[in-house]
Amino acid sequence: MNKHITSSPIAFLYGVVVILSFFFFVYIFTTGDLIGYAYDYPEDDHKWNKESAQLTEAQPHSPPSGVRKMDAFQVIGVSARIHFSGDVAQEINALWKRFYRANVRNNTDHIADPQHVYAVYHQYKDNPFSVMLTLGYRTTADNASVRVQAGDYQQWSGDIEGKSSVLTVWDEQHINPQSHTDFEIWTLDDWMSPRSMDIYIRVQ
Amino acid sequence: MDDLENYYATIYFDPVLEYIEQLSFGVYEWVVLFGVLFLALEVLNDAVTRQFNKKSAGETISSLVTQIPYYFSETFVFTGFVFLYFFIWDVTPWKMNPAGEYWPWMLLGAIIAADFIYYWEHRIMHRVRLLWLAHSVHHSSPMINTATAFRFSMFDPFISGAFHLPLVLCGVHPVYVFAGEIIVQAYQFWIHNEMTRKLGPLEWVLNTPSHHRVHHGSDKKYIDKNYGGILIIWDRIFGTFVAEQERPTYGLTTPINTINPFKVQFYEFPKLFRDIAGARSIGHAVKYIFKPPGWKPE
Ligand SMILES: [Zn+2]
Repeated sequence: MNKHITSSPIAFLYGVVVILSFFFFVYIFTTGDLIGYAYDYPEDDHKWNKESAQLTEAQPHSPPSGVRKMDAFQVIGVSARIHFSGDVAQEINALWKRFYRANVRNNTDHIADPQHVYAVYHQYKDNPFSVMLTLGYRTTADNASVRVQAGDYQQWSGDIEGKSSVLTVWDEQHINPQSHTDFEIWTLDDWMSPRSMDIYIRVQ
Repeated sequence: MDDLENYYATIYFDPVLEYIEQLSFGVYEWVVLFGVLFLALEVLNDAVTRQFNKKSAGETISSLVTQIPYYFSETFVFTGFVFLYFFIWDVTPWKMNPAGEYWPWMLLGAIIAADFIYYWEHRIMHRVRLLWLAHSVHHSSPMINTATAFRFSMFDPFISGAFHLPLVLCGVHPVYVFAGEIIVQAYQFWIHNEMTRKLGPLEWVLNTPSHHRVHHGSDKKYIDKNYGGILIIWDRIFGTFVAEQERPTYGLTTPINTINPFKVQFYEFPKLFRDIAGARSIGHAVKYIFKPPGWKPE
């Protein structure tokens, strides 16, 4: 019988590392958040600075495309408070991930309009400077996450890459969002990737 | 509203593509990291036990160098297959999860399906000479360590992409297909070593370092055995299983005897060209291409 490779105490260490790496891989697969560890959000370097703020301002926004009368409706889904002191893009991104992971569409009854995802911004607060964001579907059920009032809403075309959103319109139009419940309607394609988005801002 | 000026949105996301990216690049990076760690320990062990020499250093480097052409090819070819898979998915009338929703059991199913495909892909790569041109690169080193796990042909990504296509045609969302494929591939990095002996009951179900050493053996009893990816049960079912007894003689039956990166990539190519050029009929030429390596007219 041929001799196997000679080993040393290092072989023991090797075994320990193999077992540890096994648990590590199980962990990153089951938490489903590989990117959090491997990348820690590549967008991090886009954090706000003077230059990027100017870039944002230089972006020409499409003009409002009219005012629409809307009936009151309710949205059911996942919510989180978005803090403006933090990395807003990352917080919103994290909520979208939660939305996909929770598989809201399949795990919720009484969804009225499964083709569109509603992003509702509500319960705006000055201190701490933040707003609630709910991502979900229109629903007829009683257990909705948020209710949107009837009224006239100014429609803007949004940008799925975030260059225009309810937040940027609030900012650019100098709207005081104190009592606002404004929202975006996202149109998703077959495999639930966003294809377009419209912004609705209530006309007071 | 002052603080809102702090808002600079980069909310770009495409959850499906992001997930693929996460999986492929995320896993790849971790696999490389752990692979380097494993390899360092192996080299250290060899150094301590005085088994490390010029030859094994050369072989290790030669295996690692294959990652350069492989990485470029993989990046382009994989991207191509992402588009192809989604195009096919788009026109497929039957879909298991039309919206690509995340279902854990489906991911598990996809991994098992991908493992099954890997078994047959691997077996065919060994038994069809055209595909052996590529896969022989992985087998040409006369030694085995974690660097061997990263020893690939630049043509491997084409084969892998083609073999997993049927899963998409069965109505599995491409993300699940890629996830399964990548996980099975990632599993391979820890079974290329001589540090791990046998692992008791795990040897029954899993493809282990011991089983995979057999696969790399060129000995008569070991050759063309243990094709499994994650599970060894495919080999037990389809009759290609052999347990490890004596230490295998690694490498090709006609040893490559070079660490020249170009020769490593293309070692089997001129041999096939010569056989085809010398073939007495078109039938023979075709048989040289599609029959197992070593086939000769009677
Ligand atoms: Zn093989």
